Amino acid sequence: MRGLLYKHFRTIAKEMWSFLLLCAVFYAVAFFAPGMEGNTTAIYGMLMMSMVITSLLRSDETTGWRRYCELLPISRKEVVTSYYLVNYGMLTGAILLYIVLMSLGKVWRGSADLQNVFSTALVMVAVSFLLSALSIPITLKFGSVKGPAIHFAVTFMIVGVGISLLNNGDKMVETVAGMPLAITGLIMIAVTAAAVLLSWMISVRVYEKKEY
Amino acid sequence: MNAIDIRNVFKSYPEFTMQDVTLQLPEGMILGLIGENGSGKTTLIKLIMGMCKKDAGAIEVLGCSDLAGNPAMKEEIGVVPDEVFLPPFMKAEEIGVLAAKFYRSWDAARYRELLDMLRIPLKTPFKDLSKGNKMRCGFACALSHRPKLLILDEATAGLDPIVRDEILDLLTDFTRQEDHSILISSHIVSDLERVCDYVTFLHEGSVLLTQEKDLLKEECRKIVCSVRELSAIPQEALVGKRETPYGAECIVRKWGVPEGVNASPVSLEEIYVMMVKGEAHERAAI
Repeated sequence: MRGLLYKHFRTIAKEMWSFLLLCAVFYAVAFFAPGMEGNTTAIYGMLMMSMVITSLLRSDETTGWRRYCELLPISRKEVVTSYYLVNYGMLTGAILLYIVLMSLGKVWRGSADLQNVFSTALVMVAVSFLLSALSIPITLKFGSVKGPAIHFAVTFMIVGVGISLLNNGDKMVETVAGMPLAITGLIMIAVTAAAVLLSWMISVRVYEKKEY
Repeated sequence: MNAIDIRNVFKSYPEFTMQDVTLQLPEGMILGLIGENGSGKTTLIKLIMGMCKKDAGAIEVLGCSDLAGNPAMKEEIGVVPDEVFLPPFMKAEEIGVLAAKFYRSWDAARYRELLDMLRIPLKTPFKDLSKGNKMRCGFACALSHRPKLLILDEATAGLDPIVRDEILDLLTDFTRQEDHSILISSHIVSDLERVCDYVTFLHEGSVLLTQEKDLLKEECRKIVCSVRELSAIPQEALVGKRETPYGAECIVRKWGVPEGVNASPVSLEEIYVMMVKGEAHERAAI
């Protein structure tokens, strides 16, 4: 696992630094332009971060690294787990950085109201974690050529269902939305964690069945 | 004990079938897999490494029957595939740092020694190395964790004679330790002829022959004769034959060479070609 993580972080630093730079730029904009626009910009930053894993998967497929992994003393489960650890480690780090930066900004501006920071962070968790939870198994199963199109179609479907539930006044959605932030947050985190766990299990299963 | 023991293995793909492959690599020996492109050499190596699943049969590697389920066993195996896929931006030194994180038994001093011995540029990213240097780098990685079994899949194909010669010397050195074994696949038969103890001929997914190399070469003779003389040779003695409008050319076991017919020593390549082409010739005749 140490070797896999080392290789992933070196690949990200060498080939995917532009995503990290863009995320930093979006964070900087969010820091200096607080409010609704700033929040949206920060969410864009997280979207950039969640694209890192797709690029890493694509890079490993095209360079043949995953084929080479078959010759190393590591299991396929470890290979899959390494992608999850790198992805969710980076996303968590980026969200924590957002919370710290925005909280400092608020304090600097003399405001103690951090609710807006945390609610944005929750949206960031939901969006970035769920997007990657979808993209990893899909890319592992269908490859980096067909994968993005299928990922887009599935995301489109899920968003469509979500919007339709909101528009039709689904009772469950309304109830959750009406709860205090802490409770809504906990529910969102629990749902996201369950989705990530399910995604990891599917990815391991898909990858263990793969033939080279 | 056998380093590799393959029994009655079957594997089907839509356009290729591996049928009833049985072969053994005794510990301390070098086994050469000889076969044309598409004969099943790479598929067999993938099956050995657990990269794909067999449909039937049994494969044991260093006593382990499920390499995919026991990846730690791969510590004992060094593999050089036909194409080495190391991170393209890494330089040879960093590749050593990376490999050390995968292998408990990684020997950094040995790796450095091999890099020097094989004259691999240290400051060039892997993607910018020549094919020969990439392959040398693959060899350095495969040998630096002190494996007991080395598996080479067309690892010398496309390399110039100098690099091939260096690599064959490395292989000979490797088997000086008596528990070290090598499985090497190639269609460059002359390379295998130089280093192998045993040879297996693969053709269209089946084993045509497995035998000790020296014994095979000692046993077989090439004769050029008339069709009438050919018909006098016992069928069991015929390894391969090719009839032409002017006569016949065949490889015969020494005991079946008719008296008075000139028989010459034969190379592995000639035996393989005659077996494959003779077979194709017979099929065409049917």
